[in-house]
Amino acid sequence: MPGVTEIWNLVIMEPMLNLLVLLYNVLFSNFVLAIIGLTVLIRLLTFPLTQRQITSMKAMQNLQPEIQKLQKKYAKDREKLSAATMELYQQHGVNPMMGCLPMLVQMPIWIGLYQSIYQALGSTPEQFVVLSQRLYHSIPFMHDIAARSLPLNSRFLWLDLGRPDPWYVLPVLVVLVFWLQQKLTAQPAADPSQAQMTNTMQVMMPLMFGVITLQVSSGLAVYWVASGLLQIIQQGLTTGWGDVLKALPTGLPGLPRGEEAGKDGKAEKKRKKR
Amino acid sequence: MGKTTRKKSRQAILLVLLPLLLVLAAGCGSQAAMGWSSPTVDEGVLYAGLKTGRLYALDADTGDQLWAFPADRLLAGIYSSPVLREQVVYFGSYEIELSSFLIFQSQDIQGRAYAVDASSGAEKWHFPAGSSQETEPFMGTPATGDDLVYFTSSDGRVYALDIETGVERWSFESGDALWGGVVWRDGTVYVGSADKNMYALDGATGDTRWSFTAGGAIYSTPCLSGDLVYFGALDNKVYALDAESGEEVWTFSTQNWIWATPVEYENRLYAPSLDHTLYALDAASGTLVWDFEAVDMLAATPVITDGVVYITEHKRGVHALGAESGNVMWSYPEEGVLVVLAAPAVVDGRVYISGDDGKVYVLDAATGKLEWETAPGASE
Repeated sequence: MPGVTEIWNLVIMEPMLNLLVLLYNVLFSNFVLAIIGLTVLIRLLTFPLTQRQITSMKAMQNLQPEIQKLQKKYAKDREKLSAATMELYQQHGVNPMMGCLPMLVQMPIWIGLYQSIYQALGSTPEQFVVLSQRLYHSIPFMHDIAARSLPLNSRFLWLDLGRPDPWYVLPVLVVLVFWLQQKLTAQPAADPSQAQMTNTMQVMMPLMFGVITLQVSSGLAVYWVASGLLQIIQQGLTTGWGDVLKALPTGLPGLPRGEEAGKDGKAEKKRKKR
Repeated sequence: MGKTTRKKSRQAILLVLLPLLLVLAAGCGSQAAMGWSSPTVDEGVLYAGLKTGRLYALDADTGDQLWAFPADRLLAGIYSSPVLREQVVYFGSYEIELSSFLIFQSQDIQGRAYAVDASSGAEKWHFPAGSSQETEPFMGTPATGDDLVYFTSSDGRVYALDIETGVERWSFESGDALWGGVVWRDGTVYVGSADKNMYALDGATGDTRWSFTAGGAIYSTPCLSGDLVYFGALDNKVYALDAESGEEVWTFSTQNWIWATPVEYENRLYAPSLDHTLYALDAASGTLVWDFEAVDMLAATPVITDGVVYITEHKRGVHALGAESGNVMWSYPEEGVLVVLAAPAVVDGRVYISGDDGKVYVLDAATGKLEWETAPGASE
């Protein structure tokens, strides 16, 4: 009976790995383009989930003023507060679980993607021979593509995609993209301790990913940047670019001030109309 | 600090650690120990590059350690098998230089070619000698010829070094990485490249005598026997070329890549494939004589002596097969897992294998019974 690892590899990792090699062949033997192509494909596949996640989070953000009112009203009665909050969610058709459920569903896909990028680069003989067991040799065109393409060209500009970025450009980009993502997805804080936690998260999470990027293949960092940017673009197209601009630090040349940017957002306009 | 605040802080820490755990779970957070060097036995001494990061010289009868190189540090990995000539051991290394700036730490992956005195373990020379020149890891097994020693590097070059001093005499640049080793015969150097070409070079000058383009990258060290040169490629094929002209004589297709060196023995070619099968072919025509199906991949070169084929299987240790029939004579271990990526050494009725666990296992070549095992450097 196959173990969990075998099932995981068979269902998640190997299809992605083979798709990555196929995309490399189609996209001018450029591994960066292959990573971006696979990220776009997976984003398209998970689009319904991520879209529900974004709209749900936005709806939760819009309800925060009313939730704060309820928190003041039922400050001493947690049960009533909980019941009233749930009622408010029901009235507005918001499911609080929709914020994190799609993220949980996507987790295996992201991990599979990490693994396939890492495996495809095969930067040591150990990785390379294992790669031989993951490719679809029995499919004739895949066999031809693998023979033609491997080893994948891991050079791109100054990067060796199988090794960390020697010039620290990708770690900085990863921190910036993750920070912006955090700002966009953060829920308004209901109390000072929650605000403190949110602030800690907004700083620590991007920094942690930045530190990880210093140690891992720059191919993975390319994926993180591409995936993060696509998430930001999707968020901008769904909830309005005002939210994205509002999240940026004020005073950046060419950008409107935070408050002005917020006023331009679709959600802000809707709220004004109401 | 209130209970709620503490709880939320803990939650925040957990959430921050989550991405780190995910990356570690994905298998890309740390660099595992590397290397799969095959052991060599010469005049009662076993030379083995182990995963503990050193080249060891051990008494081939008892396993007692004679010396370890380098004595003062560890190498990230040794892939090349040690080669002996006139009491000097030659091997290549995979090294990682760590440099730090504030909290930033970066890795610089390099390689060196070493010449070490076989009796004392003292370094004779290393290449590149100065700090101004850096080379990529030296993965392939070197070869000696005339007064030169030839190393292959991941930077795609063959380096011909003065055997006495380690000074570079010439280098030849191929189009991609060289992970396989070099073979020297009668003044010609044969080497396969990941650029899909098999090259025959003038051993004295590095000039190309001929090149042959295969259908896939070549990581296999070639085997020269008679008039033919044999090798495998990532197009799943075994190739036989005319050693003089480089013209194709025959090919044989398998179901997966050929990583190891096919070995000729008494007019048969024994070619292991990553499709888990050892193919015994007619060396002149490439016709299949018999095959042996293993459970796991066969990534190491077989050793054939006295009518017995000794072959290591990725997670199943070593098998002894009849060279004529392919019948299994014994396997070690009979059950369970023993990860071995390197080829064995078979000398004086003993089989020496270098396990992925950093141990050296010594078996009786006739029965496969374990005589002794040792783990040099395990306590460091």
